[in-house]
Amino acid sequence: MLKGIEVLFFYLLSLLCIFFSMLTISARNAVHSALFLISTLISVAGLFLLLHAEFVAGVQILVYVGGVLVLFLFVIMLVSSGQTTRRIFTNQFAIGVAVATLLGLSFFAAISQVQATNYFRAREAKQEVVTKNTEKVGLQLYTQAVLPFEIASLVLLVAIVAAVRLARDRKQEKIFN
Amino acid sequence: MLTTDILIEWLVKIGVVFFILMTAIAYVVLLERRLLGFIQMRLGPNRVGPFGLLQPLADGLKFLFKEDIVPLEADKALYVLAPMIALVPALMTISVIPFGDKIVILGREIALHITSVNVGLLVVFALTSLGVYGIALAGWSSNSKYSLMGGLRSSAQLISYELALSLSVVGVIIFSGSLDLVEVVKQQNSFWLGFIPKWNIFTQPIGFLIFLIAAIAETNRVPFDLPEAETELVAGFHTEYSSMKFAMFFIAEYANMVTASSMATLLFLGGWYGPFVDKFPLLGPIYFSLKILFFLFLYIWLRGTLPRFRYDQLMRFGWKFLIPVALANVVLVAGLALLIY
Repeated sequence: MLKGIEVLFFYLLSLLCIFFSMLTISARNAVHSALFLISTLISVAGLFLLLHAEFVAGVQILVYVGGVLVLFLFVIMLVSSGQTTRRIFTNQFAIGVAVATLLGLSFFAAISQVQATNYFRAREAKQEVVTKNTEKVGLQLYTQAVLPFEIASLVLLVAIVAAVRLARDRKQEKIFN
Repeated sequence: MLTTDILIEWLVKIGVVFFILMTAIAYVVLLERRLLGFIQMRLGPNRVGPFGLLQPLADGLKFLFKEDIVPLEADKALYVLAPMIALVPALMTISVIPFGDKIVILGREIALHITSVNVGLLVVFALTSLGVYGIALAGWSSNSKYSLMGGLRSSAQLISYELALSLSVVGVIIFSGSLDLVEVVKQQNSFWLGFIPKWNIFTQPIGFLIFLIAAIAETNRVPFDLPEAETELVAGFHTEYSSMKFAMFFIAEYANMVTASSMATLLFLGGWYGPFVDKFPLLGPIYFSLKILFFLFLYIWLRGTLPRFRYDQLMRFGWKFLIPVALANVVLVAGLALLIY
């Protein structure tokens, strides 16, 4: 179980995480929204640190915060001129509330079953072999999970080629070469 | 676990390292201005104090007393936050950088780093990649065309060169088998034929060059200083900034230079190792500082020598040359590692 100051950090980070993700979807300005998403991801990285998964925390910040969201921000800054939207996106309020409640309840049910067992057991098991974490991730990735790993890379490659094909028509192809 | 003397040791270490870092940054600025002066056949600032040594103090005071202007149409919260976002990660990186082996002071064995993380390398990269937000947001929140262009360029540049930077370090990780910076340095502590040190620069010179180029690009220095290109963008992302907020960007840039130099030293130049360091561990930090100074000198030298890249040249060089070469280098180094070990 979590002890002492770790409990404090756990609840602090979890609250921050929920708070920032709510701000992410309610912010009027796209750049602000992206920034709240970054804050959410950093809080999640903090939670990984509490689990003694330093490698995952580092990769989370390096890949998502330092890579993916820089790209997000780049695109948002490029297309929007900083105007805020005051438009209501949808009027289906009742259906929205119903779906959100159902989703919330199912999450709660799932979490309350798993919480006491897996989450904390995984944490305790890792404490003895902290230094070997990175090695274990690597081994798993290249032995047991090698097929899904390669398939994921292939899917990404296809997506990149498709994106380039969509963005450039034949006329542009001539200009660039 | 957390006793008072450990806490005191931490606080003292943080205080000392922070003080040294800030002083170093102030004097690197002076060194840069004087060296650039000499390169351009003039003297540089030499009036305040002997050899201009009090110039950083005068500059600091000037920054403090300048008027702090916030543009009327700026996004005020982000405008104020941006310099902090740039500065804080830049200063935080120093906390995981080891600058020597253990030494004994007053009967206590003290390791010469603020904290040791088993994924230190990852922490440094994660923190340095956060710095770009300061620049990008400064550009966006200023609500000025020039600033926005600077911010956009900076984010595009970071994404392009981060890949090459990470790939160039993979070779070092293959050799050391660890992400711990102390382990990375210790792996370089022996000799070939009794006198050639086992530094990574000799086994993977291509990796070293890629790291150096990508690190200069990441720190937005000449010839990669497109985010602040003064010939096109006034002053780029910090056009609208004045007073201490401008100074914070300035400090962050030089802190990042110090970090990049120390990373190059740790990863490729054997960190704190040098002659007689085994007998006198106190020599470690001195060798380490000298090696950092070499890289800082290189930064300034390049600034005095090279013209700036054009934007399309920058992108082509990053994506079509640096990344393929870095990938090839990973394969090469992996083969080499099989041969040696």
